Amino acid sequence: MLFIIIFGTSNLEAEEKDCKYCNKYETIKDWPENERPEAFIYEEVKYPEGMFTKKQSKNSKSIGAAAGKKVYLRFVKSKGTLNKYQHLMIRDMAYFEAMYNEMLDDPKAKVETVENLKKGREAMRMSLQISPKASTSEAVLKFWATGKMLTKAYKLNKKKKKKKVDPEIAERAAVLAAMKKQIAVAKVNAQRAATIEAQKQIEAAQ
Amino acid sequence: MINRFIFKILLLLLLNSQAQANDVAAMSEISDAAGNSASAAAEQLANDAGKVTENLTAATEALGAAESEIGAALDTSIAQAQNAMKFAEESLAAGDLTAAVQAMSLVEGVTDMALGAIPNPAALDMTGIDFAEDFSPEEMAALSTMAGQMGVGKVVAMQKMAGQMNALGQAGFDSKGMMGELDAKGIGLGTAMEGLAASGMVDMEAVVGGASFNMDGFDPAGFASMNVAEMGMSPTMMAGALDALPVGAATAALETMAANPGAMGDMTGTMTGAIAATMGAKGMGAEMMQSMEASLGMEGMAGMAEGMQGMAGMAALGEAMQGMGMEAMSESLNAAFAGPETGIAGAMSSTVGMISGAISGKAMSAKSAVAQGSEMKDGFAAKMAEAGPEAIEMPENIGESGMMMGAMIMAKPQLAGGLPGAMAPPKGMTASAMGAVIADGGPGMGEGLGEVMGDMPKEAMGEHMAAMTGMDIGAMNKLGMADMAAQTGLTPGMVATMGSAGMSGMDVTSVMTTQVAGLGSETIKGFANMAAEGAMPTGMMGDMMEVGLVNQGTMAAMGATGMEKLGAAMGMEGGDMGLAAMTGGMVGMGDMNLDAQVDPEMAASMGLAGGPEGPAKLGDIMGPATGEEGAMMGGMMEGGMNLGQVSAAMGTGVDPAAAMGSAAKASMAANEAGAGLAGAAMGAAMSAQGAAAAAMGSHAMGAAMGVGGMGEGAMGKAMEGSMAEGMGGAMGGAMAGAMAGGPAGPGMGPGGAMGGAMGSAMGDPKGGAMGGAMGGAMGGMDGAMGGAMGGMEKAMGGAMGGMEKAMGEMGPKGPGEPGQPGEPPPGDPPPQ
Repeated sequence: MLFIIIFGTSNLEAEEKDCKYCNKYETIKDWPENERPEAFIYEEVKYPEGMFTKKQSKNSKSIGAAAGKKVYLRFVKSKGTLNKYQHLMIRDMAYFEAMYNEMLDDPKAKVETVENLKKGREAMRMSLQISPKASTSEAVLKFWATGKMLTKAYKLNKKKKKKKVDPEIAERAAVLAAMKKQIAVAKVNAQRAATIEAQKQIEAAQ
Repeated sequence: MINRFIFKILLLLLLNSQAQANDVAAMSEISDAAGNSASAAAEQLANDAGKVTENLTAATEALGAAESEIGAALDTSIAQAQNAMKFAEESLAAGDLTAAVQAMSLVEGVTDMALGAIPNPAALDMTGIDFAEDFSPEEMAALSTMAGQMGVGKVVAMQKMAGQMNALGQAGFDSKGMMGELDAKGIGLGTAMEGLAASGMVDMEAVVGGASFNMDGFDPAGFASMNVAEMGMSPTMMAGALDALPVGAATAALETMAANPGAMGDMTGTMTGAIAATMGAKGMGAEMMQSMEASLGMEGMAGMAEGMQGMAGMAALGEAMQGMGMEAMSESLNAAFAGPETGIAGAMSSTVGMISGAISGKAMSAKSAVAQGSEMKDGFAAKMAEAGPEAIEMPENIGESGMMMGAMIMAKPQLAGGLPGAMAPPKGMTASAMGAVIADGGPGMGEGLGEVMGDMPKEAMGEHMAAMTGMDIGAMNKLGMADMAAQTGLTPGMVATMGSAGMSGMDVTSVMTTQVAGLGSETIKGFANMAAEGAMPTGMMGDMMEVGLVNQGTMAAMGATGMEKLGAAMGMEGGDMGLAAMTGGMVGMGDMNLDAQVDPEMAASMGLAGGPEGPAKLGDIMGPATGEEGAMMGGMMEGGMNLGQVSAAMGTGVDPAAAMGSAAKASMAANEAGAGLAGAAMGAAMSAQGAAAAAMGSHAMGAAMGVGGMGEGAMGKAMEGSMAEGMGGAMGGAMAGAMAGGPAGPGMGPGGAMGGAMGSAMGDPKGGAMGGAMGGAMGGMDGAMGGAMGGMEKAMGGAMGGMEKAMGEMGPKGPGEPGQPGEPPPGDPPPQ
């Protein structure tokens, strides 16, 4: 009996999915559009010039595949270099947006996958403070334009030798930061002191 | 005890010899208890301020004179801080808590400006770009709106500082002289204003009435109280800024534009459409827009947003910008992205670095000047901590009434600089109004919420506070608590929120600004009045929730009738809605039936997806965990959930179901812990902090947030638990992002309350930085921050896991399969 309980429980745990709608719908085809939140509805997007080749732009599937390839190369295969090539990371977030959006047009796409990708999309949007509610087209344009700007800047400035911070500046900066923290703590203490004394007065009055 | 006695004698002597405002004496006039509490605060602050001043004196001696230009500027900043701290100490000796707190807050702001002027080796370098040559009008419009979005936090920070300057000027401090000294070194408010003007974030003519900044012509209170249209923000920047700011900021800007139709020249039509589009993007429906038309005197509001959303909006803005001249736009973008004064490069570097670190699992190798200085062997900064103030540990016996009384003592000192006008706070809470209050003296805070609280007798305030805290009303009156509450001009809920925010090290001004945002707009007041009269259609109620307009200020204005209708539409039953209105939904909300459906109209306008059988049940909407927990409680969630928290999250773009789930979880956790009012107040403060972080970025975060020491008593534990829920909840990411930002990141420096952990931890989510440094530096807050970052890591992990699966779904030729074209051989540079 104990074996059955343990086995049953572990089976249940294994089946538990970290998604909400996937428990009800398996694929996009099963999920009626009028029952989906806006973020799960496909948007026809006019992608920025240069983002996809003519061949890639043939249909939703080819756009999705091209975008997926870019995403895979950047965020899976080359993820160890993201800190160094932040400009490319931002640009390729436009492809992530495209991949997610085109997947919503694929009836066979798994809802669980889409839900997982949406979480990643929101985290990526946070890098440029793009609202989770913003349309795909807006997010794509913002990632693309910023990526382009950062790439230009990277090329222009990569030969510039980054100046080391002068120790006299670093030390003063640290003093100022420490002072700021101490002032903030002092203000908190004032409120706490007022509260502690107020409590004493309240207890005396009661 | 002897010290306190001497301190009081000195105060009384000074009271008779000086005309300076004396908060301690003013509180003593209300009651001895109030006077003693104010005196305790003043004494503690004097003690701590003395330690900071001693530290600064020792630092000045140890550092000597700097040789470099930036070093000399930082020396000036330290010297000016010393000067302001001296004024704070003198003010405290005279019982003027307000002047002291404002002086110290100004030093914090000035420090941020000074640190922002230091070249950051970790920042993205965006100099030298020719935008007009390389970018299309649409791309420039997109970049411009993003600059507006990221730069508006700096504008709000400038407004806060200007408000503090005004308060200090009223108290007799030469704040303009202080800024003049800093400007001479290129790190003052004037320098920052020039940078903001060059990027189009403000118009110098609107700010000082001239082409260039001049301190004599600068009216700090006037600037601090302006909305984004009044300060002359350029149209494209404004479109971005209003994306970040609360919806009331947009309606206030529209009101200004309606009153001055020619102010934006040829851009007026496009701009009005762009603003309407930002409101639509936040979730405002046609019905609500139509109801705005009368108050604004603008016809066809809903139609104006058409063709202005998403990519089409960017195209329209780009086209309109071409009319302004692409060269001018290019210059403005250069100033925005490359100039340190706007803080945009710094903000972007921080958030981009945070995400690249989170995905790659690697920390950034470059360290900020603050981090380097803090790690210097035998550096002075490390020694400062030994002699600096330490957070007081709260005793176990602290209760909620003590928290509220402490908050009322500190309300005026904390808020005397006024709330920044860009967030559209009530007129009575802006710097212009607060300056007059300071000049008048006395304990009162003036008009406060204005007519919202105007008719409420102090007896009613007392009754509400008694209902909130369970304290005997007789004892409350004896202590003068109702009088004190009436003097603040705030609701009891706001007082409780201030208490929890102030005690936990949040930025009280930012928290309170978010809680009353929008009430400075006639349109928003009109909505609240409509709800108060019971005339607001349910769909519009849903819009109020979705756009983040249900905050403590609007709840008070909506009154019992409005709250009853709102609660019922959300599926709540019973409760005391008058109390709920006055407590910002912390107390008095009805119970929530998790088996009930949200009103279909409400659900539709909130953006809640339904099924074939109509809107889902509340338990299902809020997610399986909440639903199951609810089922264990017999399907009823006692005390409901705070709708202000839900709305705050939704206003930042969080999915309605996630926002409701997060608020419900917080509420259930609070109920389980028996947290009561303290936990609810902390929940409200945290949600306001999250919304403020989304609007203002790093500038919304208090440097002492997470300082710990909340105490081992029930209240301390409840508050820490509630804070942890907030950091791990729907808006945890926004707060984590904001904490990563800023010149050193407020509180992020190794000497900061966050212990320097966040900076590296953001880039090393799996590493030891999170566990190690967090634990030590943040006291009980490590769990909370871990929640926020853990959430991000989980999201990214989920995304990456999902992505790998997604690759598999893309067919046999999908990327990622061994040997497929395009896959770089190991060791190759990343694909360009």
